[in-house]
Amino acid sequence: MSFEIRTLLAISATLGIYLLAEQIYIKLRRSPLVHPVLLSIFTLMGLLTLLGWDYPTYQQDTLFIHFLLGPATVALAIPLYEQMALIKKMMFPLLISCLVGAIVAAFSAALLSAVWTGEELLSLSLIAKSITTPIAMDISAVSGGSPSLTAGMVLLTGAIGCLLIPITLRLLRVQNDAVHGFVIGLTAHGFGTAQAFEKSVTCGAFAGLAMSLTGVLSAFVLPITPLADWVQVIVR
Amino acid sequence: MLGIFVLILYWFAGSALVAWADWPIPGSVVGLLGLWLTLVIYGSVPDWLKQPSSLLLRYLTLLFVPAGVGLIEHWARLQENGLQILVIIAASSLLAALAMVAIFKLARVK
Repeated sequence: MSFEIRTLLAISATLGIYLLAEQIYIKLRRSPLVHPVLLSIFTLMGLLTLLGWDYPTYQQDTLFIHFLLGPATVALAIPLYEQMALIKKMMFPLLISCLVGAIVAAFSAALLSAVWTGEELLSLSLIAKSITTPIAMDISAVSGGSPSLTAGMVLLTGAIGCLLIPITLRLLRVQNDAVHGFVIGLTAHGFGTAQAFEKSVTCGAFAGLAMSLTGVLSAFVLPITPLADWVQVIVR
Repeated sequence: MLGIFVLILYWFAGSALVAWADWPIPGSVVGLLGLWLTLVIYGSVPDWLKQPSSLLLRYLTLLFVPAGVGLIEHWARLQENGLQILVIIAASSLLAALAMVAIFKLARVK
C-alpha cells in the first residue's frame, strides 16, 4: 500500500469509528462504560491486530489528529477565561482544593502502585492519571513515565471516575452543583466534564475549570515534587 | 484559519520559552497561560478564535484516540497488572474526592 493511501485510510478509520462510537454512546444513554473514546480505542486495537498493522505505523499515519492536541490544549484558555466571574467568587477554596486534590490523586496512585505492583514505568505513568490527556502525556514524559501508557491510564481513570464519583458525592451529601462539577472535573478530567455538562451548566463549567486548573497547576507543581524519586526508591 | 494560526503561534511561543528557560513544563500549558493572559488584557474572546477553539474542545476526546490505541503496546502489562491498576485508580480517585469535599466543607461552601 502506498504511503498516501495508508495514511488516509488510518485517518478515515479513526474518524469514522469515533463518530460511530459517539452515536452508540448517545443511544445507550451516555453510560461511561461505552464512552466513545473507550469504544473507538478498543475497536481500533482489534482492527490493527486483525490487519497485522503495527502501532508505530498507525501512530505515524494518525500524527495529524495527534498534532491537534497542541492547539486544543492552548484553546482551554478560552473556557478558563469565560468562567473568571464564577472563579473569583470562590477563588480561595477552589485553589486549595484543586492543589490538594491534584497532589492526593497523583501521590496516592503512584505510591500505591510502586508498593503493590513494583513496576517502575507503570507507577511513573500513573502520576498524571487525573490530568487531561494532552497535558498528562507531556508531564509523564517529563517525569520518566511512558506517554502512551499514561494516555491509557488517563482514559481508565476517566471512565472509573464517572462511575464512582457521582455515587460518592451522593453518599457525602454534596448538593452544590459547583462543588460536584469541580470534584468530578479534577478526578475524571474530560470524561467527568462531559458528564457534568449533562447534569447542569454550572456543574459543567466548574468541571471544565477544575480540568484546566488541575492541568496547569500539576504541570507546574508535580515536576518539582520528589514523587518520581520516591517511586524509584520504593521500586528498587 | 486565523484562530488555528493564533493557537499554534501561542503553542510555539510556549514551547520556545520552555526550551530556552529549560523548564520541566509542557510548552502547550505555557501557551495556554499566555493566551489566557492575553484574553484578560484584551477583555473579550473574538469570534474567529472562539469558533475553531469550540470545535477543537468539542472533539477533544477524539484527539487522544491515536495515543490511546498505543495501549496495544502495553497489552502484556495490562493483562498482568489489570486488576491492580483498576483498584489503584478507584482508590486514588476516591481519596482525592474525599480530600476535596473535606476542604469545601471546611470552607463552608454549601
